[in-house]
Amino acid sequence: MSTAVSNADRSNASLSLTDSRTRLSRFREKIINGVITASGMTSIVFVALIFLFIFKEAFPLLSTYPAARFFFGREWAPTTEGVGGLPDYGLVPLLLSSVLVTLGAVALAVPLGVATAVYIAEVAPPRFRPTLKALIELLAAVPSVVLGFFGMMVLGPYLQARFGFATGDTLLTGSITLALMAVPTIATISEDALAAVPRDIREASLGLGATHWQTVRNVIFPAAASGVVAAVMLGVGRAIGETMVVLMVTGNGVGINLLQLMGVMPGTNNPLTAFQNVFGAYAEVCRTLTATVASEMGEVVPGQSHYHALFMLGVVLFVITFLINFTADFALKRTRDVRSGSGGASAFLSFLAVLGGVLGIGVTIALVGMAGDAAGGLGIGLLVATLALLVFLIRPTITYRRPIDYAMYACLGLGLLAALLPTLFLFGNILIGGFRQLTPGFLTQAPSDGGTAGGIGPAILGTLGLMFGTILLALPLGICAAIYLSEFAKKGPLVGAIRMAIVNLAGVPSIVHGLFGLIVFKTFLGGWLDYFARNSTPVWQNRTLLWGAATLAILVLPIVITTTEEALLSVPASFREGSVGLGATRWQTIRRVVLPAAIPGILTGAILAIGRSAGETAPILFTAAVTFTTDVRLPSPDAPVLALPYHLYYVVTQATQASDGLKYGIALVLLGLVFTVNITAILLRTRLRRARRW
Amino acid sequence: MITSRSAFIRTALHATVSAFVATVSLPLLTGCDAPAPESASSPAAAGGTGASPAAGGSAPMTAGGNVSIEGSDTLLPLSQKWVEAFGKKNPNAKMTVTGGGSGQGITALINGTAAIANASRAAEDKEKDAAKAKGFEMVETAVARDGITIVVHPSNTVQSLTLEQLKGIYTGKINNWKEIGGPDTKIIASGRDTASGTYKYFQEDVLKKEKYRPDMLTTPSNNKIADNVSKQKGGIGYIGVAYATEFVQAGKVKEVPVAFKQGDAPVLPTSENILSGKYPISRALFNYTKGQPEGVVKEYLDFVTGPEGQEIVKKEGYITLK
Amino acid sequence: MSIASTTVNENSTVAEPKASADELPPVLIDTSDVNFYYGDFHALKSVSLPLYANRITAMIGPSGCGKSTFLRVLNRMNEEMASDTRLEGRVLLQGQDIYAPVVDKSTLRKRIGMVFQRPNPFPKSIFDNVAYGPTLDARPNRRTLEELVERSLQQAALWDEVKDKLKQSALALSGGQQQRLCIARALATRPEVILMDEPCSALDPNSTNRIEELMLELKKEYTIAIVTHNMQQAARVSDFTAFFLKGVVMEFGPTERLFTSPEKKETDDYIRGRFG
Repeated sequence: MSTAVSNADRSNASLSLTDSRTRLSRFREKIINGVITASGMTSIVFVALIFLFIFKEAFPLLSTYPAARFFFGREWAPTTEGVGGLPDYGLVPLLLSSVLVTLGAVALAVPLGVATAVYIAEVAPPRFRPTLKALIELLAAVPSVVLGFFGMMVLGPYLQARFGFATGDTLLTGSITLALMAVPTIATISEDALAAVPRDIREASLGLGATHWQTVRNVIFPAAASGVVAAVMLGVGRAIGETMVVLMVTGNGVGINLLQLMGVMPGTNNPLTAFQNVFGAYAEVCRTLTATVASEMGEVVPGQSHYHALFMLGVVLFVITFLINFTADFALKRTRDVRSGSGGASAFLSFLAVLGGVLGIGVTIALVGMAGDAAGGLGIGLLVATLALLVFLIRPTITYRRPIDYAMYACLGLGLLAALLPTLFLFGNILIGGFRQLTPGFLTQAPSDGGTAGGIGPAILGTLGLMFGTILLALPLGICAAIYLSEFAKKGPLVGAIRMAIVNLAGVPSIVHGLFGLIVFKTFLGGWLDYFARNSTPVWQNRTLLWGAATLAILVLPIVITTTEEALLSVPASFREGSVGLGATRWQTIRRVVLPAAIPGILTGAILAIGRSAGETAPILFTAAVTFTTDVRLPSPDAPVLALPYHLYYVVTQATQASDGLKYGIALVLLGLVFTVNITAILLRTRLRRARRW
Repeated sequence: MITSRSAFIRTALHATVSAFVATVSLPLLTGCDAPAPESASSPAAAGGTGASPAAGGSAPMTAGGNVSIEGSDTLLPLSQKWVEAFGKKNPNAKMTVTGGGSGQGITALINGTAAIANASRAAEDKEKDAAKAKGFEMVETAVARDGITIVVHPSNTVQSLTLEQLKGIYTGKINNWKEIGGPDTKIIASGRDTASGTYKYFQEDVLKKEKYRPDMLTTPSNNKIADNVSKQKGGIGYIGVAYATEFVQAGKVKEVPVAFKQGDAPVLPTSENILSGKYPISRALFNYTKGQPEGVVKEYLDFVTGPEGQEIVKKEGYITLK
Repeated sequence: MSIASTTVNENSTVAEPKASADELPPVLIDTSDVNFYYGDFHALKSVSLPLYANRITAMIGPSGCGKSTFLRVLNRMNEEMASDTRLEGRVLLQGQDIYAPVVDKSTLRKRIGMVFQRPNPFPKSIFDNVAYGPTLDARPNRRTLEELVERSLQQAALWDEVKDKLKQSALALSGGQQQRLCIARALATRPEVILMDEPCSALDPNSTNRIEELMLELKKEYTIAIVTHNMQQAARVSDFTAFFLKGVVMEFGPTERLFTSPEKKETDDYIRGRFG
């Protein structure tokens, strides 16, 4: 039985065990495997390309301009000549503005986001959890241009009147609006971290006689602390990279307090401390990195130092978000090996909860005040009543032994209220302000009178075209990349690099995506396409739907990859085993068993990606969107498009004589479109999860 | 049913791929129908410094081609209305309007991606050189005039301002209205943000290229300036004449007559005063074309500078050429 | 103990005589000196076992003893589900080395079918589950396919229960039915060998009984290897039994002898339930 093994014998196996498939089918499988592996690498390629191209356009600045003056310069004055005949491209005021806006947003969003997460994960009755989570996800879907619109129309004027600010476009307005954006991010990721805390830890604590709140505070929250840190970091990344909101609501100037803080302005007779300056800056205009790039890109002559300076800001943004995402990823990895946190985390939770409670009361009062002079007042009372009920909807299994516990739950509930109410108010405000506008004519006609009259038909069509184009490009690539990650790749440095790249791609500021699309698609690829097509007049170097869709596709690629991978991983390994055990190859297994079983999840991801692509403005600013066209064809890949988010931005900032009804109408259609898409995704997911039988 | 589902995926993947191929190749094919360029241009270096390929030869704009207009946000609403009206008369003319700024428009013209550049300032030498390097002259056509109205809070008693005083206010040398004959109130100046052509124009013409006062409130729109001024007793702002009328009539702000220098008669920015040159803060708005306008571009510019186009200028509150 | 008195063949309806050491049937799969590693973990140590044609060979032993690993060596499933595996020694299927470079794993697995611990029908119809293997690389016509599906289901003793609902989802079947479906699915690729990895561990006694009867029926045409932690099951159905302990085959022999007069003390201890 046991004969000596010689390797030579091995080649003598009979033909009956060799591959019996045709050459063609083997070749096809090889090609497919190649395509999938290549797709897996695309995230790395895109991140590298983005950095490379942005850097390439930024680098020439340093050959003509002193690096120290850029990085430490305290003034940004690109249109006037400063010392040495060179304009001042000082990073400091822009960076300071970005940091302060983000800090303000974080200060508001962290208590609300964490309170919301803890409330949903631990306090709300389990049967309300899916609804509350879905509601939070819906908040995350509000397009930034709609948030900016709300900031301009309602929040800014309110703050100006309430606090007597010189202008409504302030750092504070920016912070609050960005907080609305960061809260859902922080809440959903923190909630995931809390839900991942093992049951037995909770039971051990309760078994030792701790109250529910003591358990949450001392055991569960500390165990989830690094996940919460990651959530906060991702929220920070979202806020610092956001363009449209700050462009629309922060005034794009540098307020006097910031100047004094930097020592540019001589101190007044009553010198302010640095702290007072920081505080005072929130009542003034500021100019962030992203807003500077977005607003000045149109005025620069490519090749001039100003152009390179703007790309240098892109590099700075890219590096900042890269570092933030890196930290977040690191923190998230730590969550997986649950270690018990420090006592600091417990105290911090109490602090956040109280803060959340205070903010909850503040927000409610502010909203009631806002409703007084803004459309939307009708619904607010009803909303408050409904949501106040939520505060007292507490898991029935919780028993109160100490009044302090009850106070904490109330605080958390108020935090949840403050997280949900503003966006619901926004929705009510836009609904009431815009629904009269929704006539068939408005939805189908072209804009007229410079955007101050007529309809938004072409913008709706253009946005639909962009959505379709984006998903057409992103879905195949994203699915293949996800297949690579879940089915092909073996753990190792390469996979680590790919995952890192995906995380970073997801965190790249959308304005940087826009710059990338401008340079790589419109200018570079467009140039070559026109050259090969021998176009006498440029076709592909214009703004076109294709370039917009391509830019958006890279933006949504991480969404498609992560949701698809999740869907693939949720397919039980036993299906794969069964298939492979029957002699199926890897690709046959994927195609015939794994993919069909994962379709629901993939579909959800696709819908989320479509929703995201509908609302983004910055990526299409330079690549696809135009203000007006007499070209009444359906959207075509080689034609520029009107798009809802850009049209809203244009009408609000340029066609200012348009009636408020018209502006609200556009916002409502955009918000409605995005909500419809996202609600579809949420409903689909819920249904399919319920229908799943394995 | 299940096999049909995987068949569905196969079909879907196939459809996706072919649709993508069609997306890319279709315009390439249609592009081939276009007359071959006389001088084949070559793609420039990757993502070059804006020097993009395929810009050779004079742009032959045949009727029916897509005419792209890009540039100044100041001209944006006006040119959109021109295009609307022109499009009604010439339904075959496909025209597209984009904002972004004068610089962006001129760059697009140089690169060949726009047929007309909207500019609220004259082209700079650098830009003219860039056009020459591409083998053509940029031709300037004045299409309208724009005036800047100076507005203050309705309660402000200041009677008039000179250019020098305006400069003092906006550079930060004058900080209280009583220094120039107004009430004892701190001056709160509002202006546009750097993205606006008006920001640049005001800086060049009124501030003589000096820096704005650092505490100026910058806003992205004329509306916001009017808002700021109407809410601050010491407020002052500059607004395009096309927009100012509305706010003045609504009583939100008060317009202030401006004089070139001390001793000149201060005047308000009426059409007559701007056309006669009595009002100090006004500028011409331009359209730039690649060489002499031809075809649809010429028809369009003739329309714009003709009676119908100028009627629109008047209606929109800008100042006509004559 | 009762094991000794459980003489499977006498109770069973199968007439075939129990194999004995005297008249050994031909060896279908032969393994010699197999060492298997997951990374640094030495999972199988110098294992040499034959699988006799048309016989049922049972692998028993405590958890982690290597019995499942050994089963998966036979159709090279270990390589698929874990990375960084290594094999020394040889595994011959009718004299052919299944680890030779020219061997195609898919082809190999069509000849050596497998049934898993938990029933794992695909979320497809009953028909599509059985038709899965035969349609992987070929496009048999509808008629042929229908016949093949019917025959496979009949062999797996499931046909009568499902013949009217072939289009229904396989996931709607009971656990025992699902496992028989998985057996039918494996049979449809016309294998010579069927590997069963604790096929009854997730089933109730009734279903277990049916699967055991089925195995005895199937061995007329197929060679079967079964991993089980249930010693009574091994005693009931198998012709040969191998006792694994810590990656080593402690003892191998005809089932009856192994259970009645084990040669090794460890075997004796295990079958008497002193450990495991």
